[in-house]
Amino acid sequence: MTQNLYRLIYLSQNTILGSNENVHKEIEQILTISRQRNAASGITGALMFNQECFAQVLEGMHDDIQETFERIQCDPRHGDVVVLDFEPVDARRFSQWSMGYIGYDTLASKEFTQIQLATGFDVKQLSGERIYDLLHVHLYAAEKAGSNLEKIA
Amino acid sequence: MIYNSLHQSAIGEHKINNRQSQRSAMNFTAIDSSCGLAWVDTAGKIISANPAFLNLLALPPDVADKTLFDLTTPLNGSAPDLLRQAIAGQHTKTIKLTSTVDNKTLHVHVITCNQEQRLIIVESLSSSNFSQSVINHQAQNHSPVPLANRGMLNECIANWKPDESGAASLAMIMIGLDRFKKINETLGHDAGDQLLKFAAQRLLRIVRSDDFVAHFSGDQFVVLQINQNQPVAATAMAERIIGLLKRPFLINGQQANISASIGLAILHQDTGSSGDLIKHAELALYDAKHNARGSYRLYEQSLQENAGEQHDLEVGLRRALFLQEFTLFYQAQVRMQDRKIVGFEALIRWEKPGAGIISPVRLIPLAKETGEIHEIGKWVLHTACREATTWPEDIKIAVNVSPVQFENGNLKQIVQAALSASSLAPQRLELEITEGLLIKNVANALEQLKEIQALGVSVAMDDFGTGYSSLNYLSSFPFSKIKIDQSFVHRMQIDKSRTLIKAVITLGSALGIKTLAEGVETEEQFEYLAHNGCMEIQGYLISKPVPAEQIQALIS
Ligand SMILES: Cc1cc2nc3c(=O)[nH]c(=O)nc-3n(C[C@H](O)[C@H](O)[C@H](O)COP(=O)(O)O)c2cc1C
Repeated sequence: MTQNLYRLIYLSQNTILGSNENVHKEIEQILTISRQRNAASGITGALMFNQECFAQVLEGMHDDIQETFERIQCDPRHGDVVVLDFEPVDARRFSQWSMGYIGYDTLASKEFTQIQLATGFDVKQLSGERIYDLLHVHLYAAEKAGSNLEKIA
Repeated sequence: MIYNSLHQSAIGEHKINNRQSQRSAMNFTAIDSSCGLAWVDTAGKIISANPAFLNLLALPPDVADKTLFDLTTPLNGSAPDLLRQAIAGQHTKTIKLTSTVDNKTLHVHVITCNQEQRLIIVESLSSSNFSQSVINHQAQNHSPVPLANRGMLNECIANWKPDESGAASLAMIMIGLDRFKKINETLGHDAGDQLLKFAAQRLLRIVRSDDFVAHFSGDQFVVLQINQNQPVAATAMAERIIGLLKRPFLINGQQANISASIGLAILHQDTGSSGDLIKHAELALYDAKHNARGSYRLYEQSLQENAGEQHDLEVGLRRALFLQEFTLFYQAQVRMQDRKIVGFEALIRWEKPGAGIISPVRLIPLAKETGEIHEIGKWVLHTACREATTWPEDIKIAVNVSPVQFENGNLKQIVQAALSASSLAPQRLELEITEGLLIKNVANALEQLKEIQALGVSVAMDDFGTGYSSLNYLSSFPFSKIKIDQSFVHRMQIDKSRTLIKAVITLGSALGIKTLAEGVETEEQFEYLAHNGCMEIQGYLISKPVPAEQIQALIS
């Protein structure tokens, strides 16, 4: 069972302090290491950031997600991690991104904020599926529009 | 600091790149043991070693600036490679070598104590007297947790010294995982082991490189902080650890959530001697768990007194039966259609002289822990049956039995004895069991339940919805009743609770099992339940639990 394809969707609170530049620098670092490490362990996914929160999707083999998530869990740059979904899936939907990124001034991020407002920031009411779709749709849209995903939006 | 002047020459001065590594947890140079002991970094560079280590591995007295691998090349075959892997890894490993000195077999245990350093213990099999059983247990019975164990923790405490700058403090952070037993029971021991391993790795990730991390026992870990600014450092670390272990774990395709409680004890701050550190940290941990899981507690003298109180309670409990301090209260169960009382649930009450009423929430776990539950359970059955004989014949008596009472395999005999001593018709007795009973040793529990049922006694499923896999259990045994847990009734304004209540009622009627809702307090709740086909209720709306003397008044 542990050799199956899984997907993980979680939310967390940003705890990076300081100026916008500082936040960006940290996120850039997170993305660099993520792309490197995820590629090495066969993980694909996307990260979204909207000043307060991170939302992330990870796809990969059960044990690889487990291992990566344990590393992410210990990262002091965020807190209050809430897992929305962890379940087996038939196929990857983010296969071309070892870690796609959607930054805070994008449409998707604003939509994410809207969803949060609508649920009164009660994470238990947030649906993993919705976040999943949001990330998916916007990553594809951004790619079609030719924006450079390797950069911070 | 790790080197005392005597041994500075033995090891020589060498630079260690990572400044933090200099503050190592222990200095081995003075340890006169037949076992070899050494700290190395993950590259194999020797930080501190005792004379036996140098002897057993035939190393020169001056190991300055050398790694173990530079020095042990004369060792046979694949040994250096194995050693290199073990030191670079994060798991406790034992490697067998043949000594180049006397051809004896050497066991080399490589133990991860923090991220950057490894503890190596070398024993020659003919002379193994260093806590070998401890190491065996850890390394060979493949402990799930790649950490130092209790024996090594004791060594570390015993060898603690102030550092060069005179900083002298030792703080023990004892971490207990809450609800760990539940994970073991529900997800299996395999999952439990994985969880311990991940918890250990999380700890290793956040401690300083000079902290010492050990697996203390089953679900307990210890972090030892050496010569840091206390209690600031310990409380800050405790907060971090609690936050970190609260985060979800992903295990066997599922999310598992636990929390950690922490006890802190600090040398020279209420704890006088290092020998008391463990005891005091345990007391503080106990107190933390008791007050609020997921919190930490710094040891102080008054905890000792509280521990005394707990002890009094335990002793008191052993005497309570003999001193007739228990009584039974009864809570009415009514039929919905006409609110007629059809039964009573017997609830135990302990009035301890000088301490007032001890809540069942405290009493039952303590009774389980001390084993007193068997005698108490017997008394409850006998008393309830006897008192019920004075009620009208169409009123049943419900008695709770705990899973522990099934362990001796003689519950049927006890029930039979209670029935014949009281001459109560078996059809009037109902046992209430919880889902927990059917988690361990299901076959045996079902067997016993069937024998009891064959006596004519009925069996109800209590607290339904609070445990796991309840649905399976419902079809595995002909229960006479499902009791919907009061937490669902109390949260009835929430959609989910209502859905669950409806589902249980539907399920009950499909399976031909009566449903009873507990904790009904308002007419609205009553109406909703009645409307949806629930058959019986129990709760303050009808009556609170009353002593036996008040039952006649309730019935008439
Ligand atoms: C919101 C967030 C998302 C992250 N996502 C990943 C990821 O997908 N993959 C990854 O390897 N590291 C990720 N990291 C970084 C890890 O937490 C960690 O810093 C990194 O894996 C290096 O771990 P190590 O220093 O223990 O080797 C993320 C960090 C944050 C704060």
